[in-house]
Amino acid sequence: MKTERSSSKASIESRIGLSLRSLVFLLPWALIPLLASPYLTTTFINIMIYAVLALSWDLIAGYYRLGIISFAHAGLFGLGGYSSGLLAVYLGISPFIGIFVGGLTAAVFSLLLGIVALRFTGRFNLYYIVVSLGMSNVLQLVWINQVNITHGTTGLVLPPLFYTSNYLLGGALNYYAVLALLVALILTIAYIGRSPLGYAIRAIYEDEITAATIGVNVNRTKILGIMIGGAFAGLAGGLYVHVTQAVGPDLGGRYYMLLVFMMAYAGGSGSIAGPILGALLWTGIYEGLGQIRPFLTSFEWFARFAPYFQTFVLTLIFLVILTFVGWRGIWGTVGEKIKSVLKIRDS
Amino acid sequence: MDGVVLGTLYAMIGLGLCLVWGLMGILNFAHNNFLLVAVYLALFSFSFTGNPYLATIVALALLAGITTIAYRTLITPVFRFGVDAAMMTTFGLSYFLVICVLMIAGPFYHRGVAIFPPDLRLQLPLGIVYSGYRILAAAFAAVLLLGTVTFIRKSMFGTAMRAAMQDTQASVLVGIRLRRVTEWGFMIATLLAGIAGIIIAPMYTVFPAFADRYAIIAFAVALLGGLGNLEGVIPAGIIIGLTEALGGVYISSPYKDAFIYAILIAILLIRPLGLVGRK
Repeated sequence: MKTERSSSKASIESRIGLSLRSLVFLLPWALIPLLASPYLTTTFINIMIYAVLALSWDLIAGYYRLGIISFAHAGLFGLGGYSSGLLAVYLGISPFIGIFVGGLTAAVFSLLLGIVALRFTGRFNLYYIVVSLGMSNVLQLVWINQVNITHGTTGLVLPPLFYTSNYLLGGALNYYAVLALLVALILTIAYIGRSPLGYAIRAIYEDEITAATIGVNVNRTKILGIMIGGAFAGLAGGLYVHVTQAVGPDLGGRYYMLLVFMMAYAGGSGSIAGPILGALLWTGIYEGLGQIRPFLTSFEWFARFAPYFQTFVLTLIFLVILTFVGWRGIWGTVGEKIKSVLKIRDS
Repeated sequence: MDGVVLGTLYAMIGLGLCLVWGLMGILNFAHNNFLLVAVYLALFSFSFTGNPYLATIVALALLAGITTIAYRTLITPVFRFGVDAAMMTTFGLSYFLVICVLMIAGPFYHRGVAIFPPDLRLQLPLGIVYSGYRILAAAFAAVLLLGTVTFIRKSMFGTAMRAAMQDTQASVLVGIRLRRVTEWGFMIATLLAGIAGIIIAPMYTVFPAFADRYAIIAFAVALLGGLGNLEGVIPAGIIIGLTEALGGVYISSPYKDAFIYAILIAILLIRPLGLVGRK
């Protein structure tokens, strides 16, 4: 028992240390828009948006092991996008305010979700899974069917985040805005690790019943965790729709949900580097396959597979990774090996 | 009427989900996509054989093969890493199956293979004309549903399955071959979903995304029935079917899925263990 406690304490320190250290690894990322082509800059904007999504999902499910598997994350992502987008289109409110309203809306919806779904403590928060999936789908139904407001499946065209005549400058500014969000998320995770909330979360992770007996408000802690994750999904959605200047109902769909799971699980759940690595690899593979697609399409037999083969390959890789290493993912296995070879010790 | 017909079919889909939950402790997100695969397999074998009954049998045999492959290569190995990893696998598998269907069959609309005369019209009392197909389908589904439930209640194998659902370790202790029981349970669940899909298909048009909403319906049925409680799915299925039919007609047709959620959450707030659940 005693060894267990001390090891968990060591892992607390290492988690905080790691989260700050990963910021250092992000430094070269700040140079990308200055050096790379606009295509690469846009790709990295996508990577960072996905990283924020995967990290904030993993914050709930894996990093602090609250064990709440949320299927509402894509829905909250879209919700942030729609709230910010609708405000900008109909009321002319600046995206900079709209993004935070989007984050707030997502947090409020997470709160409602937590209140409804966390009342039942089944195995693996089964009710949370189904109710969050349901919320995601109902949100999508509303976006598709309220045609007079949301223009249905066509979606809305939105104002950009920054008005610049220079295409490159606009891309770079977008890039830094998204990078700021990613850094803010990592800092938030590091801060939570040291705050009373973080200790409460870890107490719940160790033993939920014991935590409750020593006075941790289990439900409130869980709901706070969900709200923080949801708020970041909403912020990411708000940013994303203004970067791409469009919002449509597919933002809340199964595809984004799958992307989040793939990145978090295949990259490595339960760490900060894992989901970021997952986002990086995933988008890299996707874009790489996109580059060879014109070549492959020149074969007659391939043409009918062309629209689907990128997703096909990615899903296949995801299943293979899950079969062999489970939730530890690439970071959890390869990263640990590198660390043991280089004799890097946590904390 | 529609509600009861759909409800019987939904109960069939939900029963499979319940079985898998009880035996393995996971929500099978790929359940509805096995249904989709069955419908497409039936379409393909129909185009080869031209006989709907033969096509259905061939499709179910192929589905059983695919299920075995998926179960042995994917789901069993992932269980080492815990239940949530297994759940993620089924989610990945569900997307993978849809992509495979898209790649092989293309994003086209089809008419499902009808195993009963699809254009039959029945003259009911009170001057109502109703589709004979749906009545036959519901009757067939009801027989199959009751048959499966009785099989699980009465037979030796069913008893082993229920024992495994109640207490995994104790069932191993008394000599139940857990792996085999689990695999067969998974197979029965998938085949039930496949049959339900083949029956449902001619009522709508078949395209690669048509099975998406059955995931939610199956979860709703299984949760309402009280998970691990097999008889509960029958009233639960009929409630969900009625909700969909009545809500779709009298309130708003695009939002009929939302009503299913509303009723699910409302009932769960009152009775967290489902309609007939007891602890």
